[in-house]
Amino acid sequence: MPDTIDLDGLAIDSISPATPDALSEIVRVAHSTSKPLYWVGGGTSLDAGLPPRKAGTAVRTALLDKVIDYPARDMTITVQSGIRISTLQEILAKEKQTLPLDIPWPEKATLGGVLACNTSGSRRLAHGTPRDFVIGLTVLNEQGRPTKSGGRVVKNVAGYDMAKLHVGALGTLGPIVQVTLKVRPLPPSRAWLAVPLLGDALETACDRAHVCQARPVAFDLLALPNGPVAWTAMIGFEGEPDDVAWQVARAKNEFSNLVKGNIIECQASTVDAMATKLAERTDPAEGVVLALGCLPSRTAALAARVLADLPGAVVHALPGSGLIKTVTNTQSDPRPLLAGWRQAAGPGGWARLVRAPRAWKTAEATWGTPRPESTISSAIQRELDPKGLFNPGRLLHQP
Amino acid sequence: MTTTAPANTQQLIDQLLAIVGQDGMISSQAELLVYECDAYTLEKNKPDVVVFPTSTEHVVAIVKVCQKLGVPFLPRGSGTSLAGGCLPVGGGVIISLARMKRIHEVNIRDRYALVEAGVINVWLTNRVKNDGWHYAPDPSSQGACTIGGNVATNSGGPHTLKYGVTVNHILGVEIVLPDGTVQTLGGPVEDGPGLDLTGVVVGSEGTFGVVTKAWVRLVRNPESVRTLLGVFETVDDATATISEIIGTGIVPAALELLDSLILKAVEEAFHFGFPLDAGAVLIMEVDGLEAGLENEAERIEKLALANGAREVRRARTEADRLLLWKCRKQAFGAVGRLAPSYCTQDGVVPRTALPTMLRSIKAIGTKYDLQIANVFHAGDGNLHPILLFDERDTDQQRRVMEASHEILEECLRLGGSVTGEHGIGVEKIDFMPKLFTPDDLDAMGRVRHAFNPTGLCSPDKMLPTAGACAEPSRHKHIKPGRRAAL
Repeated sequence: MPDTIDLDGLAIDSISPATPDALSEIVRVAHSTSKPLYWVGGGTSLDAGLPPRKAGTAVRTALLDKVIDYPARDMTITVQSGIRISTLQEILAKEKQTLPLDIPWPEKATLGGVLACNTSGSRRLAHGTPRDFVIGLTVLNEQGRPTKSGGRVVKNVAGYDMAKLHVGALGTLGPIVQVTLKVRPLPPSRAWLAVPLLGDALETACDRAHVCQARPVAFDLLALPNGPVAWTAMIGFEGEPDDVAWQVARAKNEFSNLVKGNIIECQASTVDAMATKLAERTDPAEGVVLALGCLPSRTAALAARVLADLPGAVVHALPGSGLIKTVTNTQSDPRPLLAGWRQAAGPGGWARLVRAPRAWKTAEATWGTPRPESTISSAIQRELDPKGLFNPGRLLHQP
Repeated sequence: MTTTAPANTQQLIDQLLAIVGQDGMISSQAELLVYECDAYTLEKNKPDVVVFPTSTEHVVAIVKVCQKLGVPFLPRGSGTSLAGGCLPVGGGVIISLARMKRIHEVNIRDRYALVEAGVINVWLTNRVKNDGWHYAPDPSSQGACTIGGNVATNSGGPHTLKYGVTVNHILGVEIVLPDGTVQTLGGPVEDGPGLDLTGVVVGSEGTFGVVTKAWVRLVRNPESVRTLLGVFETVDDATATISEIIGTGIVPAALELLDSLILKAVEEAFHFGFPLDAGAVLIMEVDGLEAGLENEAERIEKLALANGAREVRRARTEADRLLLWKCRKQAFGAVGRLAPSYCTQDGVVPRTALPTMLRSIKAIGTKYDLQIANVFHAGDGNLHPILLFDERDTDQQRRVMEASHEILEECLRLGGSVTGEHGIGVEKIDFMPKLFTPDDLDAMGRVRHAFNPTGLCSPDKMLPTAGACAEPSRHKHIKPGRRAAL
């Protein structure tokens, strides 16, 4: 029986295919009847991109959660796209392996959703983003037939790397059905330092992280309302026990003159949870979320600007990647801030509305002014989704 | 297949001359011979013209002339492709990026450099090494190959085991599309909105347009390095060690295998002091912070000894280490000491299948009565079997081709791929229908069509044309002299 789902303001029926073949059939029928389909994973980012406008059917992938093959000693795993991130991590952990992406709400989020939304977190500094882990991908074409790229080996340049297009495409190029990932060994030792920063130390802390002798896998800046300091640097380490112990000692020393109060060393058991919690801070179910991108060297100044413009907001910055996210309340429309932020972000910089009341999510606020290369993206979308039925209207300025 | 009629050729030459001048063009038949192939020499075809643009504006003008006259064109870096990626299949214009070799910007603070496509790979590392940084992808040909060429083939190299291949290090590109428009895809600011077009351009083998610039990621040098040489009685023991190292969760910076045949050639060439009675050696390198690194090196040493290593040596000095890497990276160059000609393959298997695959290669060598040397990126499961032969003997040529084919078939049977880093080019295009279904290839063809609707840019590369035979029919009339460069 179909149930109804609220897809960022559009109430539509949803169905849950239990097999890839059933999903194929759904796509085939939708194609023949020209009915839009909206992919739903764990439902943690239903409002990613522009709100949907065309009625259609939501297709839940959660039942497509099988592990197809896990040759642990090859450090690869092939799974269906509906697998929950927490389930995947549990399976990998049994072999002392991990997918080092810090995904908010991992007990809900699905791998397919993570890829479609290109979700990443603190440790991208060291390990990269979803695109760096996908070595094989199967999606359905508009006829419902599977098309694959890549393979199951860690190095492979046969054919175009179609996975790169699908990661971050919000499902607009077809539903992801099956994924082969390369995975990493679970680090034997981990640690986090919370460094409350002196009022004027933001920029210096970022510069120091860039050249410090310790090689952190995460260096985040966090501003929380009503905290004892405006900014806290969260520094994460992974590796062999000797290595991590040395880095912790070294970092404490290197950041010692930037601290207001004491550096807090977090317990090892909270380490994985810490990265997830940091990601969840700026991914709430309620509230308004904005994201910005700039060169790493501009991050401190831009993050400070965001906090000055939105006093009391949560701000989470990844200075190594030049990324900032902020959560504010729905009391006032933050869109007038975007133009100034885009200018402050410098060449190539961007600022956009991620999560907000539907009425605020215009194409301009959500994706910015169309870039020249969006003509190529549109051409690819027309080629792979000729009738415009896959998550239509959500990515960029689709018709 | 598109060809250029002679009358048209003169018109083409005149129009290109107006863009690049006499100094920027080659059109005499004798000089064009240099460009009839790359490092894959089995198939040859001369271009009508080679042009040497020095700016993106030149490339735009050249591409527009080609489109207007309906002439195929393709980009070329240093021509080190081992798969015929630079082969002008239908004639036409080769756009050499060799004179676009400026490093425009190095920004250590923001961890990127902006380079022109013709910049030689190792130049960039040389430029930033004194600051303690490097450009991570390090194909063995890095002293000759261009970063533009690396982008085209998504090149690997020994240290990609830990640091990733080219696509993991390209932040954005400037590309001249086949219609002559210039687009900037991606850039040093991460996560910009829209599709990851940069990601799909990398590895597209020049079929989406001409990449003229690239923003590449710079990586901090590791604080310390330990380089070990494991000496094994048998290849089996060496491959078992590889599985064991990876399986225990160590990610070395590099893990390279050389078998006894290649050792002989390398030792003759470089006098490193390799044990010539060994069955195989493994170069095992770990890097990172000094704290903890010795432990990791000792663990690797123990694993090697437990798996039958006769001894494990250490590179004691940086000079020692550099000589060891020189031996590895120039191993192909030393093969000339073993046979007049050779053919190298680029198959990949799951790492745990390496012992099986190496035994298969040996059996295939015996079956076809061929000597096969092995030197390869063992940690990635990326094989480079080198089949030795004499090009004057047509029967040997036939056996080499059949054996090569059988090796790649075995890679596929074991769940691998026919190319890990060299690309499909024209050489392995017949394997594409074995790796991919018609629907897979159709999806790839549609993406190519979005970039390259007229098909004039790098025609007959990467994707087989409809109805192409899956058997290597094109190899029935093998031209001699297949040699692999680095």
